[in-house]
Amino acid sequence: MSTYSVYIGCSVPANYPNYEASMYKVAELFGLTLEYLEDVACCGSPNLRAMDYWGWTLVNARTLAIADSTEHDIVTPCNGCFGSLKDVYHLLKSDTDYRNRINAELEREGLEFRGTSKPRHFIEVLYTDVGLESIRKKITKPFDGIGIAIHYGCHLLRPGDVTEITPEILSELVRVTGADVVEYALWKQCCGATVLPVDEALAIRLARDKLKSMKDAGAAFATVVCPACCNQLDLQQLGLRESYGEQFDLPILFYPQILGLALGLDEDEVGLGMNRVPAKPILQHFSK
Amino acid sequence: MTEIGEKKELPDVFIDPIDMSELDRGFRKEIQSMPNGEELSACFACSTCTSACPIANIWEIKPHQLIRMIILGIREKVLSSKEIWLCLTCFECQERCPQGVRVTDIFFDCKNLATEEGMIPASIVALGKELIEKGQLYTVTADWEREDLDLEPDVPGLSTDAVKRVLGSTRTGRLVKGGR
Amino acid sequence: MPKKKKDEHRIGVFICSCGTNIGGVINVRKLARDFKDYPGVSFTTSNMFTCSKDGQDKIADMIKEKELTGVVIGACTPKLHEQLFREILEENGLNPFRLAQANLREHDTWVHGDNPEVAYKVAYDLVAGAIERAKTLEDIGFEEYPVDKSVLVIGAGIAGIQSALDLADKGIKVYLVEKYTSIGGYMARLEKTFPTLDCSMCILSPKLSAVERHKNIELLSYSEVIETERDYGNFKVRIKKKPRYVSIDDCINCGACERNCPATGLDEWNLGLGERKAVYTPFPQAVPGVYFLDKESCTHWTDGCTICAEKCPRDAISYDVEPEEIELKVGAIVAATGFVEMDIEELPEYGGGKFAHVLTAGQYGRLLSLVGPTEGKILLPPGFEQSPKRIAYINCAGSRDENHRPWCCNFGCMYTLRHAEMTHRLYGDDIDQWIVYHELRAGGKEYEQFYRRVRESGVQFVRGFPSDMVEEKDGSISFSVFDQGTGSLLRLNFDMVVLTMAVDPSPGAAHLGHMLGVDRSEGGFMKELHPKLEPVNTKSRGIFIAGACQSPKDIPASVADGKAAASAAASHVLKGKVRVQMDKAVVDETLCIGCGLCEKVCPFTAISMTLRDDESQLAEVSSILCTGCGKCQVVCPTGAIKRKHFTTEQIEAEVLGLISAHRKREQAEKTSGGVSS
Ligand SMILES: Cc1cc2nc3c(=O)[nH]c(=O)nc-3n(C[C@H](O)[C@H](O)[C@H](O)COP(=O)(O)OP(=O)(O)OC[C@H]3O[C@@H](n4cnc5c(N)ncnc54)[C@H](O)[C@@H]3O)c2cc1C
Ligand code: SF4
Ligand code: SF4
Ligand code: SF4
Ligand code: SF4
Repeated sequence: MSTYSVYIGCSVPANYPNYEASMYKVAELFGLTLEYLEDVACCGSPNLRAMDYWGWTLVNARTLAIADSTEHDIVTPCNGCFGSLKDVYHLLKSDTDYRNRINAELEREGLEFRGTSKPRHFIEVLYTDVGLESIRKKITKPFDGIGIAIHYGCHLLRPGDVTEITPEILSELVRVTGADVVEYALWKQCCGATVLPVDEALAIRLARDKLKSMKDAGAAFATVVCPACCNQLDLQQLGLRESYGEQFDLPILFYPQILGLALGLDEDEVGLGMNRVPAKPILQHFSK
Repeated sequence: MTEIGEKKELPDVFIDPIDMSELDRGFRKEIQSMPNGEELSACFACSTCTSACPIANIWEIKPHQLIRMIILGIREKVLSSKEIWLCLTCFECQERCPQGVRVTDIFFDCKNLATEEGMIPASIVALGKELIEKGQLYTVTADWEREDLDLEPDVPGLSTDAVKRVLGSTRTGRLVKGGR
Repeated sequence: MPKKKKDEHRIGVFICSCGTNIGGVINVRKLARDFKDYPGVSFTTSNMFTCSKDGQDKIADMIKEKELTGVVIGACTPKLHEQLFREILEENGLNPFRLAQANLREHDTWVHGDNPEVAYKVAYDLVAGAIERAKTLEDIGFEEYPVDKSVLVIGAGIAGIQSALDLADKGIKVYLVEKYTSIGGYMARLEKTFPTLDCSMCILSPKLSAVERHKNIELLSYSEVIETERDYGNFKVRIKKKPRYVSIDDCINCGACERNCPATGLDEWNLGLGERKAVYTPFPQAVPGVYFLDKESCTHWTDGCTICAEKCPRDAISYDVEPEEIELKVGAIVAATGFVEMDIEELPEYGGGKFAHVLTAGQYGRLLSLVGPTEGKILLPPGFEQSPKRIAYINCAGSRDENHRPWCCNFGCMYTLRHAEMTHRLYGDDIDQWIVYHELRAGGKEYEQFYRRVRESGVQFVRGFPSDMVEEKDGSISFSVFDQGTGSLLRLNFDMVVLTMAVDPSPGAAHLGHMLGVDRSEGGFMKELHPKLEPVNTKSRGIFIAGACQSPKDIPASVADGKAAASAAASHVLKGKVRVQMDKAVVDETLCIGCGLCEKVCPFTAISMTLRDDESQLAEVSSILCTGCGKCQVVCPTGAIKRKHFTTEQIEAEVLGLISAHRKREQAEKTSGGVSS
């Protein structure tokens, strides 16, 4: 089937190889070829954007230009990378002046942003290119309707006119595995990752409220599609327990881990042992 | 009756309103000329952005007030505010604005202006420093985990040189070197 | 036709549930049943909706089947369906005045909704009263009078002009009376109109010419209505034509008079900005398009100046012209006398009348006019030499303020946006424009989009009202305002301040309203018969209202009103006759002692005293003037004058019916230990 250029970023490979591996394995099952982009730069995410807009657009335009030369769409599993790439892509597509200035810079490296390779989030590839029907056909170990709360992540959904992704995409993808989507009050709310460097207390509070809201609504598990969100919701649970005595025991899984299990991958193949809050209880919830 | 003697300093109480001469009427245009700033003037002060913001309640200057201050030209107060750096960049405000004002994007523009004028939290500068020194925000520390999962030991495809090279010549480079 | 045996009552009682309005509070079926054996009642029933087709058919059927002599309906207020029910009676051979309604909704279930027990008792008593009243009702006839196929339109602003044109197109003779020297109204003062910014005169002047040329319109400019009188189906109207001193027929509009006239007066067309000659024409497209001499500013009567008459090549000017009075007969009247800006001196807190650089929006509009005092340039009065660098527009000046005018001026927000937009187009960033407002009302079609455009053009909007306004030494104006948007108190300074003035009805509206028998609403605006359903009708039959005289309205709404009033007036006069129901005052000649008390109290001058053959006085009622208010019946010492359908006997019967029902129940409750019916 199709080939994609993968922009993996720095956080997924450094902190969450389980996300990276499960993404690859799932892609393989659907015959998708994922090729790592070579010689690309870190997206810099919101902080670079905040202090150096020009530098931020430049590094991301550079990545997009490299992707352009592969003639494949550029796929990433990270909301931060996706947000950066898609925002810059949107800017350069709509603002000719800005694009010309950027291309003048890129020319030094022999690169040019043309916008032929579109930045896409991995889940959107699953939803649009593979499609729910093909996924459903391949599900061998559906879940038993266990309640999963979804944390979409801000930069996946917003700004909507830039990301062009609606929440239904991920909800449908969760449902197709046989799990149930738990609706909870703070579903839109930020995990707090961005303010971690300036106000740690606020960041922790946001993560905590989010977890509480999921738990209160009856979620047994939660899913994320971004390493930064995972930091906040999974890793942070350990800190919350230690420093504040708040215990949620809410396992956080990357979506490809959930899908992978339903497709029959075993727990090691999706790196289930690396999730900070033990995620193995999910293995009790296959319907057969 | 007060005794004639040493005079006291007049108490330093700020009761004066903001005088028109203190307003920077070019600020609006400055922002409007920056990326995604164009819709700024369409703001009709409804404060939906503030209602939508998950943390506005703890802000002294609320999101809509920041937007109105930009329009009015209260430049210094906006750029020196701690709020622009507290912004989660969650885009909830922007998503809800009934006039299509790109509120979050505009706060990014403000942060850039603030940075240019040296009003940036040290922790953010530190991140910039790390980025420019290491060429990436996160580095692999547990490569055995990657190997267990049949993954390349290092971050695949990432060129740390590219980041260093590109950002070395932009504002990040200047900032890290200590200049403006 | 039901044959009526004398003195035998056969009353039908119809109780309405009105959905849950009545039926949700009281048991309407029980109420109907409880009247089964009431004396004089031969049929009772209850309906879900008496006003529905089913309900109507039931009344019709029962009138015939039971040969009813009277109908009692317990439902909503007679204001809503009385006419419908009367028609059903009439169609089925019963006199329409044989109907008595008990208002079970507004007078009972809506009031006592929280206490169904009390509500039931009240309902019972009201129906009992209505039955007793029905027993005393008599047949009442009607008279028909011819109506002239002609309409008087008072006020030639856009509303009056539109009315006149629509009526004239229907072949109706129209007399259009305008008190000013030219027609056009306020719209003729405007340079452009919101939200499309099309040129005001370009869209108005075709209508002005159409008025002038229409064979069915007789234009009476510089004229005023001084008296109106109902004359059976018509109105007798006396109109004073004030002297223009320049003959409409002879003037060729050459301007020789104006060029040579040495006298000047304050330019009222430019709202006091600057001066004009004593003989002048207010604007180029004025209709009638001839000159006009203002006696107030002309010096002929003080120093004998005759220059203009001498210079006129056509001998069109003559000084000894007397006011002329004419009398007309018309079938209907449309009042469209418009509005005026409130007097700026009523706003001293905004420097009104004191600070030279504080203008009304109307004045500012004249500055924007290419034919105004500055030919479209924004210049500071009184010298008109320098352009302001900063302008503040203050919305709702005097409006929405319990200390001044509690109502909204309705178009101020929009024209202020228009003024800012026009100024921006002319001066760009050379003039820094601020709009100080509190709520911005842009409710019309495409108005909101216009508002957005103005924001985007860079006009500064500050939400709040100003305070502490002072005039600085250089003539500029400073004030403080708390800007709700930023949450900060600002001290601002402007070269010019433009007030979006509150509006009042035209002066004289009170007098005219009184003459026409039209009530006035808050602030003196003409009152419509019903704010939603009868917006251009008034309580006086044959009298209609249109445009800003009813409430402040913009041009689209005034035009729509003008058309609506024309349609209503046309259907009134085209019928050719009015039917007047005779439920009025009548005098019993044998009882009248000629005391004249009734004549004194009648607010509609419907009563006059005549001489009998024996020279004694006798009261006589004009049924066309009598509105049936009943005041005369109250003062008449002998009971000679009766207001038919509401005679003392009929009112007493109803009240006694009500009281006795109440008493009987109290008695029963006492004996049975308090269980209510
Ligand atoms: C500054 C300003 C700007 C405006 N701009 C706009 C705009 O851009 N777009 C818009 O839609 N609306 C605008 N308006 C509103 C607009 O002027 C009115 O909607 C319109 O004039 C109402 O028309 P009218 O015929 O009801 O009343 P008027 O225009 O007031 O006309 C009434 C006429 O009746 C005459 N009259 C009064 N009393 C008598 C009497 N007793 N006998 C005989 N004649 C009498 C008057 O002399 C006048 O000619 C503006 C108003 C103001 C104040
Ligand atoms: S939501 Fe938009 S229009 Fe409303 S105050 Fe915020 S920026 Fe302004
Ligand atoms: S992006 Fe910032 S200002 Fe906007 S809602 Fe989120 S935290 Fe609030
Ligand atoms: S229309 Fe606007 S300016 Fe006029 S009173 Fe209403 S709100 Fe105020
Ligand atoms: S009923 Fe009223 S209007 Fe009629 S004559 Fe008597 S006082 Fe006049």
